[in-house]
Amino acid sequence: MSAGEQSRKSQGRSYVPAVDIYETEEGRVLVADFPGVSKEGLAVQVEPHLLTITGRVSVPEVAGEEHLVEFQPGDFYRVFTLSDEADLEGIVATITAGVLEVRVPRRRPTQGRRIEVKVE
Amino acid sequence: MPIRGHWPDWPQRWMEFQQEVRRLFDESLGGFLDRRSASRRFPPVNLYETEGALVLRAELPGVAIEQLDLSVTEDSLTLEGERRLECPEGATYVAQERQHGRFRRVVPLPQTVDAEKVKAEYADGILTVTLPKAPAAGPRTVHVKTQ
Repeated sequence: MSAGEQSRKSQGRSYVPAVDIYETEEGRVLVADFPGVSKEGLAVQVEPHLLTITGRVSVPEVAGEEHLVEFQPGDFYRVFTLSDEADLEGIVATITAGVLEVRVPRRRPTQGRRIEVKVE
Repeated sequence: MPIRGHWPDWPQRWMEFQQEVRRLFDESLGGFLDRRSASRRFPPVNLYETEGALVLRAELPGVAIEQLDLSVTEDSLTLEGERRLECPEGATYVAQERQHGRFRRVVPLPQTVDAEKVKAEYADGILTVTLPKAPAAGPRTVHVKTQ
């Protein structure tokens, strides 16, 4: 998996979440900031070589005069490429306190099998 | 019949195209689609004023809220804390974009607030602080004493 290279706009405004990716023995872990997104608002889609994450913000807007606005309401969207080594079936995604964690395990190399030759 | 002529230098063209596409993505990621303000202060903060209160929202995903220091004075609110990155031992970073470390933000308040009545909630990484406005002194009726 490589760091997000592209971000397309979905309907409405979309933002690119900041992401950390680190590598362990088991594979790669992606940690992303999705403030305001709960488990219900999260959609993770896995295809061969592509991981798509969409986060819907579920925080109600404040009805009032704006004095300071440093972040705008909007959903999150980011796409990642997955390498051949990624074990697609083993991908696990969890979200806690607005932080998404996606674990992408590495596929174990297929062991060689010994084939017994039967002699007729 | 073989065509003779000047063929464009394809490998060079392809490299230039790749660089152009990369630059385009870098620019769009850093420009329109980036939601942080230019100063990139952490945490990003919104401040609203309703009829009865000031409401502050801060994006603080993955912050230990018990350790967050929130203090309010007559004219400002201070947010102080730390966001640690949890990276297991032996792991190596491939990409690191999330802001981390100690932070301290002082937000000036445009109205006087009642510090006793301040409420704070934290959900899904968003901190919401409601600061009811201090009751304004109403007009006082002055009785005129007559001798």
